[in-house]
Amino acid sequence: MKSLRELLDALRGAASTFDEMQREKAVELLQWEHDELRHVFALLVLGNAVGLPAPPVELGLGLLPDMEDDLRLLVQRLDTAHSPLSRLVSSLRVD
Amino acid sequence: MPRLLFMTGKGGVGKSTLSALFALGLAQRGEEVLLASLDPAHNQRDIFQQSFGDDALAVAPGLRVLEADIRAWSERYLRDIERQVTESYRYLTALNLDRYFRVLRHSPGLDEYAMALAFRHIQREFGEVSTIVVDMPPTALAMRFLAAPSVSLLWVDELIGVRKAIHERKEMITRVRLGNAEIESDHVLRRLEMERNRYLATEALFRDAGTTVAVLFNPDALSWEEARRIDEELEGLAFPRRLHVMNKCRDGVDEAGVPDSLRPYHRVVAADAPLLGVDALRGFLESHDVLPAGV
Repeated sequence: MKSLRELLDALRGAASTFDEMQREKAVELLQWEHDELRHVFALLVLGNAVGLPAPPVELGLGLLPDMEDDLRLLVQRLDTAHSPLSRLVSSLRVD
Repeated sequence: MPRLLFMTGKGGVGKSTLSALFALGLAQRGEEVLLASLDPAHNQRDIFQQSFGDDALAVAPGLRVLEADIRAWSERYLRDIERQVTESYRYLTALNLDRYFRVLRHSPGLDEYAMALAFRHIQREFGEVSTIVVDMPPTALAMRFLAAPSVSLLWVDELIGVRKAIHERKEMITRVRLGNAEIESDHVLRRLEMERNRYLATEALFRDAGTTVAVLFNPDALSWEEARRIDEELEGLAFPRRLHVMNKCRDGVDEAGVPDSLRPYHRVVAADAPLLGVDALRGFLESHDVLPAGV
């Protein structure tokens, strides 16, 4: 009886891990797209830092207090900016 | 809601004097009038020979005057943003934020936003008057102020589009990972939607039937060429009611070259001496046809 319960628990655990893996696989591309869009958004609002046209100054300044995460993402992206293609290729699972 | 009359034109055409004459003329007709100067040059204090600030002072029956302190509005706004940013980014206080904000004071675009803040304040505080005559700064700044709602709407719509796409993906990711868990609302999207409503309201006000933009010029080719460009730009921005006024008219000056787009125009003759003080303005109004039909 005990060993049957252990077997069922092990099967349940394996199913849950498999489910989690499948869910992660499903959202991987979405997550990449989400991060890229946030990057685009940060560039649109704060792009004058790198020479892009900027929105009216009050719009950018007004959003600044709520854009901490977006700013952090923008700074993080500076570190990986040298290999955007490799990131894209690995996200799309192209060998 | 008060009628709005924006007085625009090239520097030196007589915007401030005509603003004072129009405002006093309307007050003499029995209207409750506010003359609000958004021009950092502060000419109304020279015309009425008294100091003005953001609080309106009565200068004649039915007429109050204020001169918005654009620099003070810009300083107040920057201080407020600085406070919010310092609260949100506490870990950045080690950096010299003060220095950053000193640079911001010279950002292009801040003057027209300070003008917009002063204008919003005027709308809020003087909703009971029948007409607000706005003495505008010279062309470049005036046009940027009048174009600001339309230009900002283009940006804000684009940003809202990207932000919504981000939110949709975030929702999908959360649903796949955690089932039907609620995701927190997006502060940035909320702020953008708030700004959008504000720009839409200002744009609607500018296009309202009660809003008129007076394009002033003098009897010289340079000034009517600039007036033609202002008028063209206003047409592009869909300002429906425009009024053309030639100021400082003199007999014997050839007006044949006035562009067709500025016709018909109302003529105001040149004063023999500078119009300083309420009595001088009243005297000029009594002896000349100053107020155009329909104002």
